[in-house]
Amino acid sequence: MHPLLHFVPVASALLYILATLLYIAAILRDRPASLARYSLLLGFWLHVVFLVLCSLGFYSFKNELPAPQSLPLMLSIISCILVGFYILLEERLGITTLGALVAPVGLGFMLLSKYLFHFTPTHPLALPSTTFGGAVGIGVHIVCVVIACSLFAFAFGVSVALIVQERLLKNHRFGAYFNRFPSLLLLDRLNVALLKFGFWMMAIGIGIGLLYSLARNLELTSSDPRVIWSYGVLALYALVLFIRARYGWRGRRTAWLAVFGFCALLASFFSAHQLSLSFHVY
Amino acid sequence: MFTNRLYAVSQASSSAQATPRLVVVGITFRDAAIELRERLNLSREQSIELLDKLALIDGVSEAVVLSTCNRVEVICAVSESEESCPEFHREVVQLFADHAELPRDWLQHTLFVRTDAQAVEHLFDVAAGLDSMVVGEPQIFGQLKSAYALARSRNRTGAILNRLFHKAFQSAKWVRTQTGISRNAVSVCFAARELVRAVFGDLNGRSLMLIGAGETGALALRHFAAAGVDKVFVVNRTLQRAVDLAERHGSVALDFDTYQRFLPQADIVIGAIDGAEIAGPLLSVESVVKARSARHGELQLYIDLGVPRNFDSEINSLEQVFLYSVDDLRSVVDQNKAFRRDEASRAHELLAEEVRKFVGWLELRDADRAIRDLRGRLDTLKRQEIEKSLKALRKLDLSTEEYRAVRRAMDSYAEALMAKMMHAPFTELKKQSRFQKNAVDFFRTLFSLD
Repeated sequence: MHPLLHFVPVASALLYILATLLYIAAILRDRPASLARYSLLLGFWLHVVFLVLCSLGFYSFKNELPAPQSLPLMLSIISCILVGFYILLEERLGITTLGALVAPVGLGFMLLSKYLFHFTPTHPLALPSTTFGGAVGIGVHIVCVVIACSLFAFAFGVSVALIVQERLLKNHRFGAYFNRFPSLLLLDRLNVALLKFGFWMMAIGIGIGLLYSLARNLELTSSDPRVIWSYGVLALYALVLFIRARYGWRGRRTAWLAVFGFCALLASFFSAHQLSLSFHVY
Repeated sequence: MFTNRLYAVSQASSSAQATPRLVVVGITFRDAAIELRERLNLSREQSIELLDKLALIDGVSEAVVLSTCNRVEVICAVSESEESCPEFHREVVQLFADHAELPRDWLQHTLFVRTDAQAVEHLFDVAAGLDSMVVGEPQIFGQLKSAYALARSRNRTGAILNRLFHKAFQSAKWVRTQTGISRNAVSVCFAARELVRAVFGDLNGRSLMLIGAGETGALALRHFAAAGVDKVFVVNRTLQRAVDLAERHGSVALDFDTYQRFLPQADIVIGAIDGAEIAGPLLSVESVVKARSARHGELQLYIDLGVPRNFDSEINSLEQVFLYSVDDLRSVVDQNKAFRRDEASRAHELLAEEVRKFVGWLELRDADRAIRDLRGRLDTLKRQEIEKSLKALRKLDLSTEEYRAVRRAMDSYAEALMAKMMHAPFTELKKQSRFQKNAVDFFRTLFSLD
């Protein structure tokens, strides 16, 4: 591998670290976070370059798998999209301080994906050969699910911030640093917007996967644990949104459900395929 | 005690041309009770009168008078000489004593005096709000600007005070942005506003219910109306009073017996009734639960400014509902004040550098003047000696061109010799003037510049 190729992911990770530290410093010193923002933006673009190079085959993974079946790569894509969403929303919504949470998530998934270079997946069941339409369908399925995962990850970060702030306010620990954080109302509204958007993306992704399996007579719903787990996660998020709408479970309660939902989602990446054979690698 | 309170500026040399020094004389809330400050307080016309009287004092070249509820000070540039400085102190104390109709000898023990670097440091601290009752309060900045503008309009300021005040204002602004001395609320009303922002963010579009149209309620309403709250309900046991207050702010007055029906419409509820006048809490947990249900779980903030409390404290245990009492807000204010005090020590460090730079400029200014004076003296000597030498050369019967060439050569020679000889003393003077208080005076005496 060309030495320059090592530079890209390392530089991206270092920039995420720098962005984290700068965001924290901006919060503590109540200063504009311009440097942190530039650092995160640069780290993001290097991350994008890294992913493009990965998909073009410039990096090698153990037990080489096609890009969409590589868990390290997928996790990296999810974190990249998450950071991208954050950058888009940061200035519009005034959620600068969340950068201190988002940048480490971007870094964490990058580091995780590095260790998972040694990931040895259970080989999936082979999908039967498909038409062009089928291939497009699988592509849309993957894209929708990946975007949904990114949104749920972002919602996880927002939920954590909301839970912490809500507790501090509830316990009257409203101190000198509070005016630097987004308001509870903004965090709650952002959280539910992310959950709604993520839910629909996941629903569309799973729906397309279901249509594909029905069209190919794959009978995935009855035997593939990954699919069953996905239905469970989707149902969980649907329940979160339903309870919120029906019973007014806003704020902290929705946040905790979102945290639980994301944990279930993460667990599905690592455990579902172990239960029995699946058409999914992860 | 007299010498402890008044610094004798009698170290000046016996030079007739005196070096201006900065002197601040006055009282602040730290040294004087409010009764004394009230007597010494000056209106705008009295400040003008004092400025005019200060200008008549021998040695005072520039003056600014600052009078606020917490301090009365005069900031002057005074020529330092054996005659002028003690006279200045006597005159200033007498002026204050005459204005306040107090014994001069007694007042001498109360007035503080700061000179030179201490005077500069004091003024920079005052401008930045570091010497205020509430650290970082912004009003003193405007008051100091007004005092300076008044003195300037009366032509009572000059090069020294103009630069001093300009630097003080610049440093104050800089320190406020670099530290947290002016951040976070230090009053209960502002703490309540910050709390509302922490919960709701922008206040535009928010609705508020005020229960209690007395003095406390009216003040709270004024603050929140200024912050941009959209819809306001005013409730009072006496409906007319609620109507009067509501009309002043374009709000809606509600009857005391039926206001709870409107509770779901209020994002913020403020209780401002004197608790002694009511039997038990105005709002119970049950009524808040009903309101929360009607709001579909939307956030609601209750601020209880009443003593005893107007609201049941158990309200705070409900999801999506927050309750803050006046004690909670005071504790927030105390935390913020402590935060500002911590930031104040950082601000002092930053200002110390600015003070050092200004004092350096003052000292260099004296040194530069001494150097200019000596150069002038040397130029005069040079011309005189060249003329003497040229008279001797007339015997040589030189042509006009040769005569001019010789003159030019002698001029260049003398100029170069002087520059080389005086370079080291001038450089050393500039260096020593920063550390040795009397370096410039000694230099002037050495070369008989005065």
